[in-house]
Amino acid sequence: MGNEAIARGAIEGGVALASGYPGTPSSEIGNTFAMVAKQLGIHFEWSANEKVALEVAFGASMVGQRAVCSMKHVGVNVALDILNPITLRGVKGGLVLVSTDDPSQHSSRTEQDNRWLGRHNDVPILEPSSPQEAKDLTKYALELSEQVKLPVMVRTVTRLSHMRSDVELGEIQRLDRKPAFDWDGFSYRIAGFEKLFRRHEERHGKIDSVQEIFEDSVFNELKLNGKERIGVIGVGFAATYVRDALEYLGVEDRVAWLKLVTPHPMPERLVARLVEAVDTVLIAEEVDPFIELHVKALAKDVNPNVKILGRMNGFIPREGELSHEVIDARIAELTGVELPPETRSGLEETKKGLLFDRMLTMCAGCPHRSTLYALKKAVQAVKGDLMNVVVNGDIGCYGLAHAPPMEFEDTYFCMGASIGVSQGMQRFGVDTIAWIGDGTFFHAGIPALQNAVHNNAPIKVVVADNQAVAMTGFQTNPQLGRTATGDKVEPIMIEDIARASGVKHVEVVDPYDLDAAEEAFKRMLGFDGVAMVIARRECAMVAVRNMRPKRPPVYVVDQEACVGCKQCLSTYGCPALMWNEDTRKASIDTTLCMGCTSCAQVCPVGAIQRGDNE
Amino acid sequence: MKTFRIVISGVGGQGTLLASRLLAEASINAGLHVKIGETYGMAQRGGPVMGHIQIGGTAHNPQIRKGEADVLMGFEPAEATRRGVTYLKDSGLALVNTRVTAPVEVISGMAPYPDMGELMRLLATPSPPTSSCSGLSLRAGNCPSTMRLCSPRYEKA
Repeated sequence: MGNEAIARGAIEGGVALASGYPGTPSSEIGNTFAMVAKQLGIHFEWSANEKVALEVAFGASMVGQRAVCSMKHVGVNVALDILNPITLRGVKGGLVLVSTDDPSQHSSRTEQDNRWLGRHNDVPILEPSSPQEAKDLTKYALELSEQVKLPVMVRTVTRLSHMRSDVELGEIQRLDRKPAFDWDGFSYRIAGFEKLFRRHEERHGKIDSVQEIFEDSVFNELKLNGKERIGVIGVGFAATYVRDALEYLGVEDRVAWLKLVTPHPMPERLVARLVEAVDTVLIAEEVDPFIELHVKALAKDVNPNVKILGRMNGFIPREGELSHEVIDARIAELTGVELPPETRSGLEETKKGLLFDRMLTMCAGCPHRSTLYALKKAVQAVKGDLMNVVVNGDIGCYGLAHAPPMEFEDTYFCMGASIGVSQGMQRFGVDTIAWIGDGTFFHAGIPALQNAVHNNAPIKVVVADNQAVAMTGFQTNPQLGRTATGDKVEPIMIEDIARASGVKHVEVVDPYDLDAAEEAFKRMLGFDGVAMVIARRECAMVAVRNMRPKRPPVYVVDQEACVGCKQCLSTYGCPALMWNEDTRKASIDTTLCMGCTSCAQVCPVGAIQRGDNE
Repeated sequence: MKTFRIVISGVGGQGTLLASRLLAEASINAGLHVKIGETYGMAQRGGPVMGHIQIGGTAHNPQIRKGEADVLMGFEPAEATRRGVTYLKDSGLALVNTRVTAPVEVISGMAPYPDMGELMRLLATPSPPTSSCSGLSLRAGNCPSTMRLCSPRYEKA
């Protein structure tokens, strides 16, 4: 897997510390480190957030150790505050920041292209095109970082991070460097403030030297015979669509191509060799026209008449990830080759009206569903109408609260924002509920909560605490009492933080007890001041795993007793519930039910009961 | 060797990704190059999951073009039709689990589950052997809500 290859590359590069914050499509990088770190004598940690993760990695670099820090693209927004001083001050041990971007937003709120952030901070960027290169370039990134004394970004996209292929492994390297703080490089006391403080010019010198190195990089590949009129630049993973299209269309001899894996700083002399030699250049890259813009600037000097096509003029769609369809069609158009006919296009039309979208939903037995059910009943009772509150949600599984049948969430933006934006609304008398998960609370919720107390914004906070960072695959957070590599540590409890932050009304409830949860929410809504309810129940996925090899207790619908009112389906809507149109009765899918009991509490006639497991 | 292309489509939790991985490992053990493209967003929550597997060949990109797959393994009939069948070539083989995993749209009454006969007609180009594979995997001792792997063994319908 691309992500596993990145971890392997770091290990082959002698990494001594790895840190990160989980987020699709980056999470498997950290998961891989977590599995092998102890065995290899590496420190790995899931940090509280991306900024802390990068700070931890930078600290290791300053004492001479090689370090890797991984996060999803939007995580780099959080880490940006420390990234900037790192690039100005420089590094000692090689420091690599892995940014996994998500073109087409498979699992993100944006398809932001982080190459801009690299450029913005003079961070050299490597953009692998295959799992093999993901491994090789991560190892190289550690070496390059140390050589030029800048952090290096390895940028992947979802398709590469989640791609699997056979990879040839290299030797695992253990450097066992004696840790020593680089006093001359970083200490105000020893190096002096003036020497360390103004370094913009020095940073420019470093990035210029990287450009020289990239001019001759063996990782870039130019295929040019001098007779082609058309050239294509494929940047990083986009190069795979280009090379496959040239072969598919049989135009390999007529089209020159450059696989560019060093987008920043762009090796201008290398790119110029292609741009000078042809009449038309097509640029294929994920997501933004980053190289396209740089090629346009370069072309003004080296070949002003060359036609440059890409995302800027819409020749390639300006949004969304690339595909065979797009690149095949564009290269066919440029070369005048006819595309092979699509054999299955009629099928697309036929099936259009027939099928649903398959929306995301919470798992069977998910405690968040029970929490929302109880919360809605409480809001209905206290506020008179569900529309009398704005529910500001946050990032995680519980963010699916907007989906049917719960449909009880109005906004979510970025980690921790639920608590912040609620205060601006509450200030003007608009009632709100901040709806945040346990992991997200630790990531960015704490300063916002303290802000509410400090500035007297009487918001109501519901913590959907499932004791897991579930959406990204069960990584750790500070409440769990164990580290990523399994060491026991002191758990930090959310209720303790809230109370220490001056929240006067804090309750912890079990959402599987629907009545008790509803009463707790009513008390919260009636409290004058900042109030919090922590709805705490282990994630259903974890619960099922922990029961193995035993199966969970199964619940069944008594077909005699069921009156067919559909309340369990329409107001609770667990995926384990089924409806039989012929008998007009509900039933339970015993392969999905995990015995949470919630639907039995929802049923108005008591038709749902514990059944026999076999 | 000629590239052999398999598309697997299923629903989060059915073991779609595990199945692609098993196929990849088997290919590597057989000394073949393999490339897999996986598509899953927040799919553990019952969302759609797809695996594109290319065994042998020289392709650089793991995604399979529409109408190019030799085999479609559908773990859920609507999902096999919705996401998978377009990738299958006309002479391809569709192996489809007939057991329904209803999406939230159906559970909460927003949309009906598509007619099974209609789904099978769309999948049957040419007619696929189908079977209720979940029964097999249940007998094999699978646990709920994590995996219901479609057995590659099938009986002709």
